[in-house]
Amino acid sequence: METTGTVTHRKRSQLSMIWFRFRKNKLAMLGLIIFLMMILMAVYVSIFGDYERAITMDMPNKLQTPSAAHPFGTDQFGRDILMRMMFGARISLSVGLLTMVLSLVVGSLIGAAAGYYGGRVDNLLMRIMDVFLAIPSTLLAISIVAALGQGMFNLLLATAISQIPAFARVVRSAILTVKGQDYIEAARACGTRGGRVILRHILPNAMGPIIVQATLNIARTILGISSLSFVGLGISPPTPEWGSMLSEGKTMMRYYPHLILIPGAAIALAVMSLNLIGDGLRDALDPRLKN
Amino acid sequence: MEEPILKIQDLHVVYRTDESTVYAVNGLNLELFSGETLGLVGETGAGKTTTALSIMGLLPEKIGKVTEGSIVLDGTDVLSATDADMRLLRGSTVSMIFQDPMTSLNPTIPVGDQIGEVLHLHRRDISRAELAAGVDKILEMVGIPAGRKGDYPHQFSGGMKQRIVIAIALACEPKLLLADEPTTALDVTIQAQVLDMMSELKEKLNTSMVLITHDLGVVAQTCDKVAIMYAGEIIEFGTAEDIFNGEKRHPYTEGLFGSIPDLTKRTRRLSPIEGLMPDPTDLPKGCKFHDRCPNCMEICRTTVPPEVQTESHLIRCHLMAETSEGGAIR
Amino acid sequence: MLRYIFKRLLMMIPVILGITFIIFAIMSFTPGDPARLILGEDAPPEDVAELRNELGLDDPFLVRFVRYISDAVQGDFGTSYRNQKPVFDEIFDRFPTTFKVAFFGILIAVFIGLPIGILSAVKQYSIIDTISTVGAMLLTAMPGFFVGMLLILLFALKLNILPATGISSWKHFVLPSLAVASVTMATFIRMTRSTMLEVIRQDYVRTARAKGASKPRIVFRHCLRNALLPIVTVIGMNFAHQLGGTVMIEAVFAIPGLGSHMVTAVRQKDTPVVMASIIFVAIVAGLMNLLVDILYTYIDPRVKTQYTKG
Repeated sequence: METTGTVTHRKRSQLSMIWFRFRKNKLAMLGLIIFLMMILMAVYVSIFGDYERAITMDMPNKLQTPSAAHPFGTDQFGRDILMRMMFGARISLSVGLLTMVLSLVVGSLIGAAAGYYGGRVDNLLMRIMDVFLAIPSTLLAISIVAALGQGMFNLLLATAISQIPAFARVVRSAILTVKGQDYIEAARACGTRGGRVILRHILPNAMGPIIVQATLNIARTILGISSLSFVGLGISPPTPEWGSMLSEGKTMMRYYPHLILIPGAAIALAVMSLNLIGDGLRDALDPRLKN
Repeated sequence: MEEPILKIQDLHVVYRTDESTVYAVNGLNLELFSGETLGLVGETGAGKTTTALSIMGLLPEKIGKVTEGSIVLDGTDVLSATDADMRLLRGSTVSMIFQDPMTSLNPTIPVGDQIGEVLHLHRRDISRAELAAGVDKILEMVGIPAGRKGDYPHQFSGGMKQRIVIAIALACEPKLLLADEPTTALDVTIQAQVLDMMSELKEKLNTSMVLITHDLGVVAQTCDKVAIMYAGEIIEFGTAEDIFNGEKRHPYTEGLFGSIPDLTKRTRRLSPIEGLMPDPTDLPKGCKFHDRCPNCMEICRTTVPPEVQTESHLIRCHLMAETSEGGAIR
Repeated sequence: MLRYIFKRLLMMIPVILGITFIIFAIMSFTPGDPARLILGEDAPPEDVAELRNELGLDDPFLVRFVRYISDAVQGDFGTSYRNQKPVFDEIFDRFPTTFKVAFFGILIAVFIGLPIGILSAVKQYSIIDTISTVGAMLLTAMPGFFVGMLLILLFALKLNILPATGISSWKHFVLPSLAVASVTMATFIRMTRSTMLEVIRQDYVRTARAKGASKPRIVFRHCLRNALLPIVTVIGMNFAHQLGGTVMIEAVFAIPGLGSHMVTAVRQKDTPVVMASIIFVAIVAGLMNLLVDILYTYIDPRVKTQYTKG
């Protein structure tokens, strides 16, 4: 009775292994596709779209049903909904990305300092972060908008600040986990200097959770921006931001539900696709967690 | 001729994942009689735990599968039994204790209740008073004051936790106890205590035991019979006498003994076994040990070695087949 | 036990101070002269200067901050720039409404979300699991106010069985609470599911199976209590978060709660109202978390023995 093995594994680099596992996750790939489509939309509309038309009222054409000229119809001010939605994508994605980058950079610096130096620095920084976290993020953002006034930049700032503590925490814990590993001690025992230890050993391994957090962070930001715009504290009409589109459409939604269904669905798709990507990345980075 | 309490024949177990198939057990044969203690020895990955889990019917659901063979436990055919049937057996006819006592107990349930649960599950008509008395009794037997039965697991030390685990396993006086490296996670001194206690209880309750371990010292102390496992097969079997003091041994067993440091001898270096256990997804042809065997012959590479039996001692090796005289060849 | 509660309350104080400090600092960036706002644009400069003096607006930052705290502790959160009334009264009046919406929302989310999460975990990869996981994903992706609008569309406008706006009867709380519930329910489902999955993998579950325990018994007797621990913490956190999130819900359902009050105040640049509202909500949120912590010590024997034996 002989037994033979069934599979030979090709040697793969770590990055391609991660991509391989990600690819196998159907939901994650779906999320990626949807997200890429949104990016394409944003790019397309930047090149071929007419922003002026998207924000200018055209009352004779108001509230039209979907047709060839207006695939999603027009809103109560006669503006083409599809175009507004696509410009909305551009706004949400760009503000989302910028906010994420801002909170990522600041949060990472704080978290890295806390994680690496430990002791009193860690204690102090984390206490401060805890206080920030104790304030519901919506309220924190509202307070900043209240102080600085409305507008896209202030919104960006407000949202970014409310997201910094979460990043700081993730980065800190990622660094602490890696720092505690034996191979860091081994590297030090071989005489590797501090900076090099951080760069070559700590950072690459901490990257994973940080990237996952970043993806989920963009999703949260998009929700946050649309929420604030909805109540009139963020991006205001006529700028075609999805949240403000929802607030505009609310009055007429009884007879023209598409006015709210389209921007709402857009938000949901954007956020969900990012969540799927984030979850997929998390599973791909540490498959042990799944099985 | 007495019926064995456990009879395993030609057992094959695999683990199937999306990525590969692991051939964990490959043609295992085993018999155990009432009151006997069998030491199942082997390195990590040899298939010992898998065998025990198969007996209990506790292989991981979608991944573990018995592809061939039979397991008969106290007259019941385990492989064709339903889960409901198996649940009746688990804890009452056959019990299993696992390696790490620190995590084997539920942190939110008092230990007395955890022991009482086994009694409650298998003695449906037991009264509350009887149950409490039963719990007290078994606690005393494992050397834990009955007054502590309301305490939680985290309030006990590692050694005591393992005693509680043993108490749970023996509460219903099972016919067979499967002990998977019960003392590996414990300090050496505690180890000795726990082993002594297990031997005592075993005597008292006339329980058969399969003791899984990689520690030959433990085997010498407690086992009547010994089976050496390698890559999913039993490559040597015999009484403790045969294995420890026998004339001939399987080359792997020789290697195991050679790896043990000996206080009485002066050696420069230990002589470990070269190489590693074969990849269970890609097992070698012929004798599975051939690529690490110092006595490897041509035939070893191509043909599966036969079992060579001398009285109570069984060795699966071509070398033995050549040099033995008239042993039973299968 | 009481000692523990007291200790935790004490620890909350620096956090509350910190929150107040941060909000105070942020709001101090507001451009414009409060004295002008109160007196009006055409008020003579001397009156403005006098008012500034009276209100101590030219004092250094820390002095003003300390003064704010000492006033606040006595219940005086300042007066509104708009209508010269004490800020605290209005906040105190409106808060119960906001609290009710958030509370019922969380309650619904717990009673529906937790069982679904458990079922999903126990029957992993089954149809129920897939539907609930995807459903939960969908819900988390939708903003609460959007769900609120959908609910209004369906139940109020199309089916006409529940009211859309206002708070005159218990019926008025149904849809807003459902909207709050939808967002958090999804989180609870996912969290419960993943916690249960983790717990099911634990060694002590293996021990229970080796004892011959049946699946339902294992889930309810062995897994649930262990899974509840992190879930309770998440419930607390979510409740605190929702207290902030009702701002949007109140806008959708025209509910006169604290959230809408805050938004109006922001638009009107009524700083004392904004500041006091946020601080108030943040403090309540902190107290909720404390409550959850205390609950936790009752559930987790490891923590319980630590605090009851000493």
